[in-house]
Amino acid sequence: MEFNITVNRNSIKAVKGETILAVLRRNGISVPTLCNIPELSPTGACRICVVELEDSGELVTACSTPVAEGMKIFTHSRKVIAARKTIVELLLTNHQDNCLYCEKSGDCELQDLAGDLNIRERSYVGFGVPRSPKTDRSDPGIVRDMSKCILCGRCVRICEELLGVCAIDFVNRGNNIAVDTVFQKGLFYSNCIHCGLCITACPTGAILEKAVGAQVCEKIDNKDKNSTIILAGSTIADLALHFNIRKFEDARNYLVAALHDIGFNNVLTLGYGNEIFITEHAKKLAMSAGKQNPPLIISDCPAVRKFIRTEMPDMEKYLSKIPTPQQIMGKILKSGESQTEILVSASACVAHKYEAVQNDNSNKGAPDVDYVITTRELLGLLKTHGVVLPYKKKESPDKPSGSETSAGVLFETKGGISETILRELFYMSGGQKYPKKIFEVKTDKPFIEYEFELNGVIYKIASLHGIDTLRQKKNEIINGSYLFVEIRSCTAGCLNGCGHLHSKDPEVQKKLKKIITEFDETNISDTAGKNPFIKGFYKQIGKESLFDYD
Amino acid sequence: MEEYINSLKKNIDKRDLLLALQDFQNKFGYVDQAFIEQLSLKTGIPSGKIYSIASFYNQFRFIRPGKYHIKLCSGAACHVNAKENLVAELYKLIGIKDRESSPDGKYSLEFIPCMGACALGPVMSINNNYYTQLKIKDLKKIIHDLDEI
Repeated sequence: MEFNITVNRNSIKAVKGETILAVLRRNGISVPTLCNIPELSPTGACRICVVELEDSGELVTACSTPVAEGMKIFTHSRKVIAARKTIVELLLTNHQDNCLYCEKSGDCELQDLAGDLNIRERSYVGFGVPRSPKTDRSDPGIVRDMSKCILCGRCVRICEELLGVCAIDFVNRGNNIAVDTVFQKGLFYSNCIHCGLCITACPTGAILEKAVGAQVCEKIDNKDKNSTIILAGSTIADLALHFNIRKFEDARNYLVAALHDIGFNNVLTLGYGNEIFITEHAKKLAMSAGKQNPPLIISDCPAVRKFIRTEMPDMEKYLSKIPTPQQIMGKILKSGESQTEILVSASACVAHKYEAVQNDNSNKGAPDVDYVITTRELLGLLKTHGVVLPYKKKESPDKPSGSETSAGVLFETKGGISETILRELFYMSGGQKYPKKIFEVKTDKPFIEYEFELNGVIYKIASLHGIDTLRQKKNEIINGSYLFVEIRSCTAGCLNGCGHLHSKDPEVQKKLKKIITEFDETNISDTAGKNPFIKGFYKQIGKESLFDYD
Repeated sequence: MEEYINSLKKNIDKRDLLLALQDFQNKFGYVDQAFIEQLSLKTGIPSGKIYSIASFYNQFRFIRPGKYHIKLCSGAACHVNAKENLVAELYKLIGIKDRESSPDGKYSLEFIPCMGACALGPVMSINNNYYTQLKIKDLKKIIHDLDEI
């Protein structure tokens, strides 16, 4: 049912059942929010979105109040503004004042709100009691500093509603309430899958990645040790967007030159690891083609791998045992001819930080990948060294990776695993013209199926994104007679990983995708097999595959 | 305890969550993490959520109670009757705070909302023996006597 409501004396259309906030947003009227996440259930916890009802003078929360016919609303009356200001002042009561030293400074929603509402002095002095005894540093990737928490519950709802993991939830009650893990033992000891969505959800600096930038700088200054940095495709694309560079390869080559100057002996791209990952799987699938039932679950996502291990142990036997591209690179670079002693991986993912410290990803106690930094940390590193792109020169990535094929980059986008493995399968079977952009039209859906014909046999594959979708589709995956299923925990693949630069632009993922697709369209070597370094690599190890299949 | 956890039904209705927690605490004096993990598997509620629910209620404890479980009333009447001095003295005597157990397992301490004897405050109980209108001098003697045992 459609009817009209009056907002700031203008009449706008609303549909029964919508919240006031949804109607306002659709009509481009901005109301500040803090605890609201559009796709999740509203709680009305922070009350920053209050609007005034003209008839009663009442203040109601826009995010959780349904519209009613004939409603008259003021979104920015004096009363509303005063209320919002008091709300933020109260939120700040128990909040620290040390924004200057906070990593989130500049991207903090609370800071922005305080600025927008022109709060220039502390109105209320709290007890200064931190809500949790100490900062939770147990996890290798995520740090939770509860003294900066404003209890908006965004991380709690993301973890519960989007993932169903519930690693963190409100504990205790009233004055003692805090967001914490089971038995308050710390994230590492909980059922957390380290996906890092809580980092993207947090409006303040209460949940952040564990920063290792300073340690990395210290290590690379030691000239006796050979240092290598691996750049993930999504990280390069993100920095290209940040510095307004249109072409992917330009941004990559500027970055390679800049990082050489900063002090890294070798700068490689993760594309090489991705290509090996693709080749290994394509070979495995070609060997067992048609006999794959139930399907092979392919995931380069450490969060998905942990989730399946802990929450769906019956699915674990279907999960591919080939390490993730980052760890493949680690294993290659830390052994054999390569002289790498310090290996740093820059990716858009916090789960990789957790992955790098796992036992099976180390050699005699020394981790294969020493440090994992997020895109944000890499940008910090560039800023500290005064690097701005375009840089004064361009250089190509070092051996063994060389210039990656576009498949190695496309791999990281949503549906990328499926598409690139498919290309390689077609390429290996005799260079048939392979289908491109197979998921392009329906990339908004979390579960996509695709059928194709290869050598006269019809195969079905699927691409799944999001842990909640995985829960729902579990039986379909097992019984669906797919050749393989691609699974990632982030809804847009690695392009909205939690290590990306904080952006307020809702179109950011589309723009990142565009940079990568343009690179793919203009690149002739568009499948892993076309990379001469990959061919050389397998010739060098003298084996058909790097990992045992069973 | 292991036996009790193993003897749990295969599936537990979500609505029986609090009953199951209460039952466990009545038997063992506290709610153990191993029990919450099992309960999570049997009810399908994530363990973090169960802990969140349980920690909302004052009735649940998450530490193994000591041989002598001390409850100190922190209601308004007891509070104004110098309960804080008793807390400080207790800390001096046995070295533990609210919801903690002493390492030797002898004492545990818990502040509880009200015991319903406000006129006789401050009120303390040790293993269901009640002490009313408690003075620091009395407290010292009580703990001293327990230390001797």
